[in-house]
Amino acid sequence: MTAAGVGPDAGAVSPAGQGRPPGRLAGLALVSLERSRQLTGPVAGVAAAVILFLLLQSDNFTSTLVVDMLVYAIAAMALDFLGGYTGLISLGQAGILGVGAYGVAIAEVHFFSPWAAVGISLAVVLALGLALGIVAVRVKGVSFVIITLALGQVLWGLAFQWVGLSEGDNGISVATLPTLGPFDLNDPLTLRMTVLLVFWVVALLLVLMVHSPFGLSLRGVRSNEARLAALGYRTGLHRYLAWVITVFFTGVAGVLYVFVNQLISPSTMDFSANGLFVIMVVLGGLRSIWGPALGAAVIVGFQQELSIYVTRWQTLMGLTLIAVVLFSPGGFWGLVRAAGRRPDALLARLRARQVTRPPPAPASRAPAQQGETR
Amino acid sequence: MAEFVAQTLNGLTLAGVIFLVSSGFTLIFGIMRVTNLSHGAVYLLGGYIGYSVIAATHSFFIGLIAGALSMAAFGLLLERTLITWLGRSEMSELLATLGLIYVLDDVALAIWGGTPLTINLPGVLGQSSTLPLSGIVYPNGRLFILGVSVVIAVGLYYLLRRTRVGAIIRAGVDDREMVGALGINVRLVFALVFTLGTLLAGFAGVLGGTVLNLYTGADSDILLFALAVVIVGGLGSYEGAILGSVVIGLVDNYGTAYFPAIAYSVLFIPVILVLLIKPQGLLGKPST
Amino acid sequence: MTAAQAPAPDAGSAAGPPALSAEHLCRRFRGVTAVADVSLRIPAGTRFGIIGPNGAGKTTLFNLLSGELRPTTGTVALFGRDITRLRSYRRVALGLGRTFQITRVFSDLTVLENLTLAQHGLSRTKLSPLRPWRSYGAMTTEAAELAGSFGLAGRLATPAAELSHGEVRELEVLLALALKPRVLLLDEPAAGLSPAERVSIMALLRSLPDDLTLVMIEHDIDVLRGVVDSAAVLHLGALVIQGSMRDIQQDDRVRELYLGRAAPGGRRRAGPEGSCS
Repeated sequence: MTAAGVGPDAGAVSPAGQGRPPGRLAGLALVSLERSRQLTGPVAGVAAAVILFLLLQSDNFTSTLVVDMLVYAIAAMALDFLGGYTGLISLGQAGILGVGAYGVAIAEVHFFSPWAAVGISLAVVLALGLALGIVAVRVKGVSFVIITLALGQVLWGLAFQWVGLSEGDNGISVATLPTLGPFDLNDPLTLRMTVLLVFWVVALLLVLMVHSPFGLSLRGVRSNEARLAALGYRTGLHRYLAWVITVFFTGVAGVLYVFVNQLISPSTMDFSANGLFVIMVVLGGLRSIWGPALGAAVIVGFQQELSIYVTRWQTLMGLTLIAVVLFSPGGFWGLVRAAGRRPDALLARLRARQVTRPPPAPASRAPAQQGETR
Repeated sequence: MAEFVAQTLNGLTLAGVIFLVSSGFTLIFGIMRVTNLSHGAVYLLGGYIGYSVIAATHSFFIGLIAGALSMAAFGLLLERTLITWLGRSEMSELLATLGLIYVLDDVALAIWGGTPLTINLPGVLGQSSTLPLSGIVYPNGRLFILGVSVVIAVGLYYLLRRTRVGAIIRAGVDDREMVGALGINVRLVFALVFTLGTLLAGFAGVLGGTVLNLYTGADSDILLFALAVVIVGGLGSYEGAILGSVVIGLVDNYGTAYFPAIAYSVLFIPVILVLLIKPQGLLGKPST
Repeated sequence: MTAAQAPAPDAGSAAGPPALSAEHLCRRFRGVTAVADVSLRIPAGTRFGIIGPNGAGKTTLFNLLSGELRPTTGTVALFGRDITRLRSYRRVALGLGRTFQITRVFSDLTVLENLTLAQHGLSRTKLSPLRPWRSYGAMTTEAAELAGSFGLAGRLATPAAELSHGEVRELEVLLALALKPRVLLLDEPAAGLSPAERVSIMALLRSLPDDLTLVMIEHDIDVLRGVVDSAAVLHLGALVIQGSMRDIQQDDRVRELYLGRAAPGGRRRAGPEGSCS
């Protein structure tokens, strides 16, 4: 939508003594409405950024909650990249997150420095993604969901049973966080700010990727993979890359997780946790960057807050997912978009009216047209 | 050697229970394209209900039937409501049944609590006998499960391969629209197959409650087995469910017995192998 | 056999090899011979039709030409280069484009996004992960212009699922065109269209560049008449005749096929004229 300047006012003769022709006013009003509509997104974004920043300043329950939400949001957004955009929904996200977390923990147990631990963990996650991707891309749709579910369960089983490595059900606690010059992640505020920063970086990267030709190709994979292949794309490669990217970002979330919670145990990776990520994405809105982040916030809120008042909050969550699938498949973000469509449509109509309104003949003394009435 | 035979029998017993769960799952997917992720929860719920009925009536067999029938009824209800409302979208059905897991698990937790429960077998079934040829003393209950599973597997095979109803079901797996175009009441067939699937799962739950116990998380465990079976055997293939169950049951049992540290992941080996060699499953059809 | 004695100009006389040629193409499916010993030579720049009643093997022939199917025997060549062993997307890269009778567009993407995908298909930018696709000005403009030159300029932001049937067909052709093919195979582009939509798509086809070789399957001889110069008639998988439209319309066998003028003696075809070895 471009501001086309004021509408034609030449010859829109107004009854004498009424000052400015209504046409120009209407035109200005329309322009300012369009401008403000365009700004709602960026303004909301800036507001969210500021609010998040402020919420994280003090060391209290709220900031802990928000940090949890941010960590999960990273994993959820990554999941949407693979699931919503590429069409490959993974029920193994918690497993990958767990690998990222355990990687750091186990490395530290074996006396690696925190930074080395981070490096090792991310390397392991990447290697896992590269290796498993070869198998994972051989299937699509429901089969893919099933494979990733099995993967998640197996990873959990490993964490549970390979006691020598993972210390089983007790989990591993992580005491030392990395420092980078003046930035000591052992300081809670620095840690929270780091999490916030990583969140924005990951979100930005995902936004860029979604809008890139690669991102467009992923949407094409979901939409009609056969046709995309006929256009000369190596679709298996594209799916593989999407998988590896998602796994890597999820691993990053895992590293942050273990630093924030200073503990990793198998329960972080069980079936319920895997399902929770999918719920976050669906609830928040598939095929949107911010929807899953919103969904993560809601689910974490459910878990921490709602569970206090409602013992059967898991039932509630399951029912909510069913309700969303039945009635609002676009999730919360779908509702946000729908809310935005009506003003957009209205503005488009007003703009169309402005542009098509012909300049009346100069000699005419007809009152200014108000366009078609509806 | 005796140990190995005993482990093999254990594996086959496990295979029996897994078969009962996965055959229903694969038939439901095959004919309805519905991925019922709550199938594991159905298993667990059937087991819990069986447990309670046994506790009330002191009869194992009444409990067994109760577990089966209650889940059959649940399946019918589910199919007529949620599944029908969701229409044809595979992903929606998958996601909705995912949500259902949370609901069922929570309800089960509320009613039966988090402590593991075991179902005891009555009379002679609770004892052990000496097996001929090898002199191993083996629990009768497991032999019973094995026997029942084999009987049902054969019975289902007969149903699918030799009866008209079975032919319709197999045709439906191949081509849903055609079956409808032949004037057959497809909706009735759907309801029938779905109900049969959940009945089997509920039945398996009571059986499983004797050797595998009933506990929070048993549904995820059995679901994992069932999914591994359909990956190995092929989604939608009944014979694949049989084959896959035997493979997975044996592999898992040997894994747990001989490599306890990584038992869970030994399961993954046949899965990965099949995915690399024949992604649609050993007896599965190439995906369109 | 009748196929080779075609009045169509022999490929060797024109400058360069024929744009598309098939030699003794055969395709069997478990006892059913769908395409039986079909040989074609389509010179560059021609508009060529493939006609035949239902079940004649036209789409199977197309699938063999475009690479969706492998022939049981026989070869396919593109500008003299043997492409029989190449998969379909490789043939696309070599300049062989194709549309499908059941349209395969990207329904949840907009028209512009559909065409942009096609544009990027030709280049390595399809894997570019961080730069917005809209910022590739040249490609996006080209996609928009392609749509504009064939009447879809106003629909660039419309999701393909919301287009009318005729517009979807046009988009289907545009997607194939975006890849800058040298030879374009069109599978019943006018099927299912209203008369007005047919006019529209025929106009689109006629306005295509002259150096683009078109091969079109069509049922309706009237539709073909306005677009193609020469054609081949298939029946039961075999080539009945290949020639100019006028020759085809005057050919006895074609008349028999289409008008059902059966000889009183009940002469029935036992099977395809050609046969696979």
